[in-house]
Amino acid sequence: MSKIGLIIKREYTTRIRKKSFIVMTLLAPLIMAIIVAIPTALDNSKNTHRHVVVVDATHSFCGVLTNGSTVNYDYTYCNFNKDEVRRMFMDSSTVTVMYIPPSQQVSQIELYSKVDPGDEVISAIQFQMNNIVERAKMKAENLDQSMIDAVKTSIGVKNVVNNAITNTGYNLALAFACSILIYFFIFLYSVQVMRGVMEEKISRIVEIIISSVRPFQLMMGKVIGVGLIGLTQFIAWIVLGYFAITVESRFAQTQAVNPDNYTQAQTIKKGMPVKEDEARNMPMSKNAAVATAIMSISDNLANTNWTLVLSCFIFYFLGGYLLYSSLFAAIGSAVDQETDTQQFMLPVTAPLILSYLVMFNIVRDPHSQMAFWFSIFPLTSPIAMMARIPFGISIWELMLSMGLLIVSIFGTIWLAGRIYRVGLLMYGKKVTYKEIGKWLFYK
Amino acid sequence: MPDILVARNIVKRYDKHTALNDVSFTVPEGCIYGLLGPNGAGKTSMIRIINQITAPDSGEVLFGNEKLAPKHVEKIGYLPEERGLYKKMKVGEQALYLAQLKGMNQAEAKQKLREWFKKFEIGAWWDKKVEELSKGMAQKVQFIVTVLHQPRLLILDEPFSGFDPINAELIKSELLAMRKQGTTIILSTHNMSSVEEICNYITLINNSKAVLEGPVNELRHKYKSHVWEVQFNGNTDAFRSSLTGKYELVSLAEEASTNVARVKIAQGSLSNDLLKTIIPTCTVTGFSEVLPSMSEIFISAVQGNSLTSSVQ
Repeated sequence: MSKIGLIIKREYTTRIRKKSFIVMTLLAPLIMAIIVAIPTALDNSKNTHRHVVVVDATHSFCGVLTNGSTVNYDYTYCNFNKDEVRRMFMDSSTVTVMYIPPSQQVSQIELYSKVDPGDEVISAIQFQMNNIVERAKMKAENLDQSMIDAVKTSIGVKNVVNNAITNTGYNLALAFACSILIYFFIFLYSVQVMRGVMEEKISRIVEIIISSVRPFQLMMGKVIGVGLIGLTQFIAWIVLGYFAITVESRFAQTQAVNPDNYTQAQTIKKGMPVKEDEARNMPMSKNAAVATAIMSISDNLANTNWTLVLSCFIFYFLGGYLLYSSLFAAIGSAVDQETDTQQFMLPVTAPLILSYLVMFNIVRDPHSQMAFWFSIFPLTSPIAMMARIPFGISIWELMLSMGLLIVSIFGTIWLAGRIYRVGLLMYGKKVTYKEIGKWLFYK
Repeated sequence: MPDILVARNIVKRYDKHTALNDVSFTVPEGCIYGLLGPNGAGKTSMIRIINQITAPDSGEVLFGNEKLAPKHVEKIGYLPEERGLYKKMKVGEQALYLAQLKGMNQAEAKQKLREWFKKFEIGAWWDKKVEELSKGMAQKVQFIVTVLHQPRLLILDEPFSGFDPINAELIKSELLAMRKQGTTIILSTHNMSSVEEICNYITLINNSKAVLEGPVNELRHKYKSHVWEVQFNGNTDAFRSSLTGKYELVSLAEEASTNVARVKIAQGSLSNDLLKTIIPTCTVTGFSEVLPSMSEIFISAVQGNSLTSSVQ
């Protein structure tokens, strides 16, 4: 095996056997899945179920409110005295007494409980009461129900790009996910390279190694070895993520079969935006929302050009990683201790962080001037370009960006290599930029 | 004996500091060669150049009869002054890795490592992490890794620093054994007694320049100051008064019931004449020439004093 091969092998095998790597690889998708699943699961547990004892001083709501998933109404005490009923259920933690005070037009109700019934229950009661009162008012104004329905408006948008129906919201999510993932990958693994370099320098094994191999081989071996670890982790996550989504969508489908949720999910899926105030009033449970989201994701997953997105992702991940990790390797070689890395990290990470921040604007307007320039400039292109690709990109822009990235990778690696070989053997003094500049010209 | 390493007019500059200024020396094959000099003289810079860790600004190094090239790395073993190992890696695995970097194949390296581990009685450490070892233990491992690939040239930078006396002795005997087998060893050191003990040749580097070079014995003779040590029994006054003219008494002391005197004889006179002069006054029990120690040569060369005064 060639020497650089040996170095790559060592980097790879020691890292892949680390507990932290295994835990991170297995746990990260699990944590993601749990984060998505928890609200859904909690919703289903119906922990918020509540008995509401209605005391109606107006005598017009008895039997009108209907039981739902969170609330059961009990009308037995409709005509009782409020205080009497309150005293009866004073000690119950599952019962809420609802008092509707005498009034021509109900504008206020009172709830009495031992334990706070929670927002879910209160909203459900509020929502039903609003509807009933609204309808009563309309009736009083002689407004016909058919008239009311006719006024309600909902404009659907069918977004056709290059003869394909496009879901911009979905593309936005994909662009976000891709560029955030790249950002974290570059950061995570470049820092690992830097730590590795420092470990070798501080443990003083480095001089033994570079008497056998050239410093450049050592640096590249480490960069490539850690990069392969990143790639391994990424592939593992894709596989695990695929399982997670499959399980998740099956879970969601069982939710969607629930008739309430299903209709809502279908309506939204058809791409019919709901009017804002209606959306607010619509008793759309979170189950339905999640079901909708996942159903639309699985629809869109099929529409995405995965070959393009994935190959670009891997290209920009590796490209960005090579660019930054070699700079981080140079930083690691120049310092003796972790705290000294700060002054050199800042200028190196600045373009990375900047492109991360700008990415939030790029996904909203992927073809702006700013988006263009950030996705061409090599230090920002890995993140900026990934934020544009899901929206479609012209081939020449992609080629230009990739070409520039490749050229600058070679330049950066050369530069980093020159710093690295000198830095490795410099101990005991705090280096300055000026000094590093001089190292470039050492023989 | 052919020369294994020739350094010619090596110059190495760092920024404003000149680490090596026109340094030349020749290392014959099969000897132990001492690279001496005070801290910061340029020894480590020279060693790094031989190991191709850095390149000289000018000058050239020949290995065998070829210009030093990357392929020679596998024929050289190097133990740096500041040495360490991967703390989290297992000893055996790590030694195997370093041996492979020197061009050994895995099976061969494994077998040789087992032998060395047995020899140094550290076989039980194979699966231990380096962080579990003591400093002395780690140094044994480092030494094994340095010599495992049977280099033609072994370069040790301050090999005895940090070793406890038992390990230092172990290393010393290994070095002598390796020289017998034909390995050439360059070692840089401050430890002058070990230089006299094991080095055949030395180069003394001071202020970035090679100030002394040659076989240890020759150097000691070259810098001798014609002082002889006489051990005798008898009257010291008579002894003292017999020394006139070309003889100068440097010191006289009584040690363990014998008198020990140091007498400097004028250039050109013979030691026999001195004996003839003193024999009538006392019983001579010992007579030998005082050669300067390497440490004396070292100090006087570095401080620029004349050797005579330092020997006295």
